[in-house]
Amino acid sequence: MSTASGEKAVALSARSLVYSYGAAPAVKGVSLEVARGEILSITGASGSGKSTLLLCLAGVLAPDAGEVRLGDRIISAESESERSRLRRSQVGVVFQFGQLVPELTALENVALPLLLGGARRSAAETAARTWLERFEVGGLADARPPGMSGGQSQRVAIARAMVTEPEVVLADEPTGALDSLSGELVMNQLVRVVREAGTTVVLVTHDARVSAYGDREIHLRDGELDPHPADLLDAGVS
Amino acid sequence: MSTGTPRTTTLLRVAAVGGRADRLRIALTAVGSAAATFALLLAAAVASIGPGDGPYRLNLVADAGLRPGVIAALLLMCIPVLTFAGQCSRIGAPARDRRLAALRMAGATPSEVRRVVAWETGLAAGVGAILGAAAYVVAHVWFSDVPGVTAPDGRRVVDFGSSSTGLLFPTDVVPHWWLLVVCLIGVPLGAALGARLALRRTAITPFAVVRRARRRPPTLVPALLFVGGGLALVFWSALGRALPDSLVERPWFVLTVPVLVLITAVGLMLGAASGAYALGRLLAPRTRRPALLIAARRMTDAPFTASRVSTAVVLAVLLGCGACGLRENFALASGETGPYRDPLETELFFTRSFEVVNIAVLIGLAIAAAGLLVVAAEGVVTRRRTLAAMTATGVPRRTLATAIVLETVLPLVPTVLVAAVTGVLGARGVYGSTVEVNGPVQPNGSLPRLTVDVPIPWSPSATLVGTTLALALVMTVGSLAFLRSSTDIRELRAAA
Ligand SMILES: Nc1ncnc2c1ncn2[C@@H]1O[C@H](COP(=O)(O)OP(=O)(O)OP(=O)(O)O)[C@@H](O)[C@H]1O
Ligand SMILES: [Mg+2]
Repeated sequence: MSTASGEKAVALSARSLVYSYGAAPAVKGVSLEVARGEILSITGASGSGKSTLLLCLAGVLAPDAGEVRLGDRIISAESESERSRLRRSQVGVVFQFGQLVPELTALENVALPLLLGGARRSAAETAARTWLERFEVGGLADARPPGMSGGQSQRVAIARAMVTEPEVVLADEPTGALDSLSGELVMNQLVRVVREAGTTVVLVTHDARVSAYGDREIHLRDGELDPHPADLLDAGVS
Repeated sequence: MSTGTPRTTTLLRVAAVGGRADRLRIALTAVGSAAATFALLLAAAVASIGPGDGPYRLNLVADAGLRPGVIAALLLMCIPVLTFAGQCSRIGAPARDRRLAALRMAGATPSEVRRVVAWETGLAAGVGAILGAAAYVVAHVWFSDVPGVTAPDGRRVVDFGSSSTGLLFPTDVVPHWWLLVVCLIGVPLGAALGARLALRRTAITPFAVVRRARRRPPTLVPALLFVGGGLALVFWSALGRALPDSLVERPWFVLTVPVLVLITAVGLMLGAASGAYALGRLLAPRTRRPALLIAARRMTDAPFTASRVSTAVVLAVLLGCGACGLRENFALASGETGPYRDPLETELFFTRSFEVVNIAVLIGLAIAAAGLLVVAAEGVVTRRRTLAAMTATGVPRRTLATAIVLETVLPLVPTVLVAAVTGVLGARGVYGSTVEVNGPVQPNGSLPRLTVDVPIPWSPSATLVGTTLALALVMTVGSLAFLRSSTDIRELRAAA
């Protein structure tokens, strides 16, 4: 499959996605395409449906209408367990905070997706160590999440999302709980590593400085794509 | 003054406004203390039985020699009940903790906030104590009718000869007033103190309630308690056989036995924490199975969860297996069982009496199982944010479910086995592993005394252990009912 230009392969796409919690739809017919290796920022005011859209793209939520394609799989049509398995190998997910298991060490947290895939303990830990080092948190291998700073645990969380070398990483406000300095550090490392690995990234944020790391930016307003760039300023303010 | 300390009533209201979970916690605390008060009052009544009282239908109450054992058993029954109440005190606690933190943020001092928790528990237990006392009064009146024989002139005559008549409960005695006061005040006071003590290791900061846990559970103290208590028990019973009966039948001498049993049990229960810790340490670095890894890390991280779960279970198994051992001993000695069974012994006094004990053990086990369900479910609900995040990032629910079952049941297996062995060995230690019985009548008419070995009660103990573990498994699996809603993606939206 290819985009209109015919040059770059599409890694992830959505067509006319609709998702509602109860009666009011949170996402109202969004279509988008992300090219392989591209970093796409999704911005929008609070409540505009960014997280909902991302959860649909990640296969956590099944859309009410429309479809999500990953490569040539229509994941929106797959069963819940198929979609879960997808997140174990082909899609990495990063949230604002809290996705690390507090009782496991950083190393074990990063190794967990590999262990779930049936890897041997030593192999999983070797790979996990490499990924921790890529994010410059190799020294925290034996630390536990409650003892880490926000920026450190986000870097561990991103390492965990990338350890299976997924085609796509979906991040929802990965720096949302951080101050601007550590947010910058996390974003710099994320961009550097995904560029090296050629990973496709969808980055949800309401922060204009973070969205600037993307190759391209789309804006959501009330669950719909908003073509007017002026709104970007509003998003930064709200 | 407007800058004075907030009134306790104000603080209390804030502690308990949380809705269903708070109401459930308070109600279960009250129910637990009601049951404990009832048991205490019954124990007090049995203790107050004098020479002129009775007759009683139950051998356990009728036989003066067995009464101290009954009192001890009733006192020990309070432990699983109160443990259960303690376990329930964590229901809805995360939400309450957040409110307490908010109180601190608004300027309440740490001690004021601690007082709130102690008051809440104490008041709930106080209401429970009143309800328990009321229930006891109702039972007292209900059972005070003597089922006797009606004489031809209409007068009711009590038939002293038959064991099927007499009072079921000692409803003809009213304990001394100070005993009543102790029973009524003891439970709420103990509950409030317990709640206050439980907060000792927590810091209620304006941001959150932080448990200063993550310390290695003690190994030496439990080992000392366990071994020391066990040896003291054996020593005490040897002393009991050596000393004159008049001394041995004194209440303080007899009541030392449950205290020693308790010390041994506390050693075992505290030991459960270090057992869980050691097991977790052993397994976590070695396994490649994600569920086992998570369970093992949880065990090293929160080893006291394991002991919270096992407290009542240990006690039930310990006492149950101890009772099995005792029954073998007594029944053999009295000729109710064994190779030289006395054909004239048809009353089966001990066998019957121990059936009552079995019922008590079963009740204890049921309470323990209920507590286990509460702890396991609370664990799932409290960690729902983490669980939801793990599910969202691709950890299958099955893995989480397996981890939860493993972290509860795995530490329980060795603990239950040790409790069972301790119970059986304890009974043999206290009452000996051989008894003297009457042998068959010899041709010359003499009755030889023979020494026979007391059999080890393999099958009843194994049944108890098996039932306990099966029950624990069922209860833990039951707590998984909360897993689906706790891993709902919506949980990720609430701020931590
Ligand atoms: N679990 C839910 N139940 C009900 N309504 C929900 C739920 N989750 C989201 N919504 C609603 O859907 C809409 C979109 O929410 P969403 O979380 O996707 O917004 P967002 O753009 O990520 O906002 P924010 O920047 O604040 O994270 C909002 O109106 C929100 O109230
Ligand atoms: Mg959001």
